[in-house]
Amino acid sequence: MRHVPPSRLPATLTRLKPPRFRGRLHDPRTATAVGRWLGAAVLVCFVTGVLSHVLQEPPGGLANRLPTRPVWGYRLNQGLHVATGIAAVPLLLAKLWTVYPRLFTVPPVRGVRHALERLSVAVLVSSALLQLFLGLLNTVQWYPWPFSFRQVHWALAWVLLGALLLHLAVKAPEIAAHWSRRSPGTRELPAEDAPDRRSLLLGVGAAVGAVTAVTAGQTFTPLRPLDLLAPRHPDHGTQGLPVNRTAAQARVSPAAVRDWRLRVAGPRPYTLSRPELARLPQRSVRLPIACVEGWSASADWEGVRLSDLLDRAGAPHDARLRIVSLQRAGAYGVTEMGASYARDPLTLLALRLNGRVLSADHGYPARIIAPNRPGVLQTKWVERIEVLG
Amino acid sequence: MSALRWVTGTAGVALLGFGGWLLVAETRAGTVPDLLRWMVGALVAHDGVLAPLVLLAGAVLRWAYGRRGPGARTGVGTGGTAPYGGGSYGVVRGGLLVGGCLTLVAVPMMLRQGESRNPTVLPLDYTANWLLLLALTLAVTVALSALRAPAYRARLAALGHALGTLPGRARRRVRRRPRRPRG
Repeated sequence: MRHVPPSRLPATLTRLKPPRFRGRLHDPRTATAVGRWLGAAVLVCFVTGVLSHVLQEPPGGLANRLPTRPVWGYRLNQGLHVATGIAAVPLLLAKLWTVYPRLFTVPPVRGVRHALERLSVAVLVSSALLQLFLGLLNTVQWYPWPFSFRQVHWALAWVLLGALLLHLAVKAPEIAAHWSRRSPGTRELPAEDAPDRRSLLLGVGAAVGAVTAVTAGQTFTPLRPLDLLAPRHPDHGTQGLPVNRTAAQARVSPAAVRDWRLRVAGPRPYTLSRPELARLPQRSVRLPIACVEGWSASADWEGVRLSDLLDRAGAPHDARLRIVSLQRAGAYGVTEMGASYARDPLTLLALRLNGRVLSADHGYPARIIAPNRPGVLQTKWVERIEVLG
Repeated sequence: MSALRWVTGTAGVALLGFGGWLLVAETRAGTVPDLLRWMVGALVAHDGVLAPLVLLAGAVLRWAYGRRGPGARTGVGTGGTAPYGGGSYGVVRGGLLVGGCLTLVAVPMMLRQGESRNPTVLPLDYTANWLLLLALTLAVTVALSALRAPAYRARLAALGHALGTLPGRARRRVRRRPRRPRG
């Protein structure tokens, strides 16, 4: 290293040069090739996320008309959402690596338009990084941030898609010029980079395959033997099923369970003890429980058809329900259920799971199980069913 | 500028606006300043820490493969071969990518192992599984590198040559295999 005389030091500092990037493939063709896959992943995450949001918080007119088929709809939706998010980790990092030298563009700002473009890219990059980070940590139920995960993940999804569309519009000519191997822009790049680029893309593809293969088993049964890094394993849980929130975490008091009676509030209100419920006609259904956090598993449920309980209370066929749980901690202690779920023949007030009485963690004395519904709405420890107007 | 481009850009601005409105109006008090700090933090963590580390790893890899010739500096190729390509360079880079991404996904699991009161959250031994996957990645990388090593390739070529000199049908079959020019 050359010695710099002290007198020349300030001049050297003012001539501080941006870093040079000698590595190859920081080029638009590589960015386009990775960006296409990343864009597709963002789109899948967005669409599945919006569907999940609608199922959880249906807008007024939809509440009674949500589809209950296919029974595995939510399982597929949420499995895709989380698996695609995890698969996007290598894609996002590869994309950002490709365009990283542009961070040091000289001059940093060339005018108002350029400043706005750079600002929109900053929003795009930070919202993409944060969405994947928040989502991944949510799947391990880790919340080190001061805001609500649900509110922020939902709002940032729109910010991310908006910034992405704007980015696509700004970069459209460059994307078109490098869309394929034979596009005019691609031909202007050094030809000897092509094998190296293919090799890099193969490596990124291998990373996508690897992170997917070792996590997707938490919802995709054929990959279950490879489930090594997923936060859940469908075989780990009481009665062969994982639990989102235990009875202790939900602060379900043993005394409340001991004196439990189901109350149904409707035109002809009534109460039933657990033995009385068990003497009503029992139905068996095989339905998946699919958590918003991306794990799912099928199980055999046994109990009373919700529709039978509603008929007994004289509830109208188009009535919505409010379901109240013994749960005292956490959200979802009180949930609402639209008429399409309430009247579906597969929707049960379940008393038994996989051939045995429900365990405390799975919602003893009784819980809701309905087809094509987010797991957080499959209310456990049901205490009261209210028929709403 | 085409109409489609304008429509896409306008839709993007509209969605950005809607997301911004959700953040301001539909979140609890104090969310926006907290989130802005986290968004800047995400940029600093990636652009200031993770990306430089990856670039450093890339530079070390190129140095290890001794491909720092004039071609790498000026962007001018070295005549037909990939600048750093050939041999096992791409395989090792792929192995590092796979191992690095597996590690990123594994870190939250390892950090939170045993923290939950719910035993069905993080029920596996994530450190052991992570090490197993790294070992597997290493093994596959070594195996694929060996397949690309010049010595192995030479033996493969010798085998091909030996097959080519076999009399009769085998010889004809080898000859008849169509050879499409590349590029």
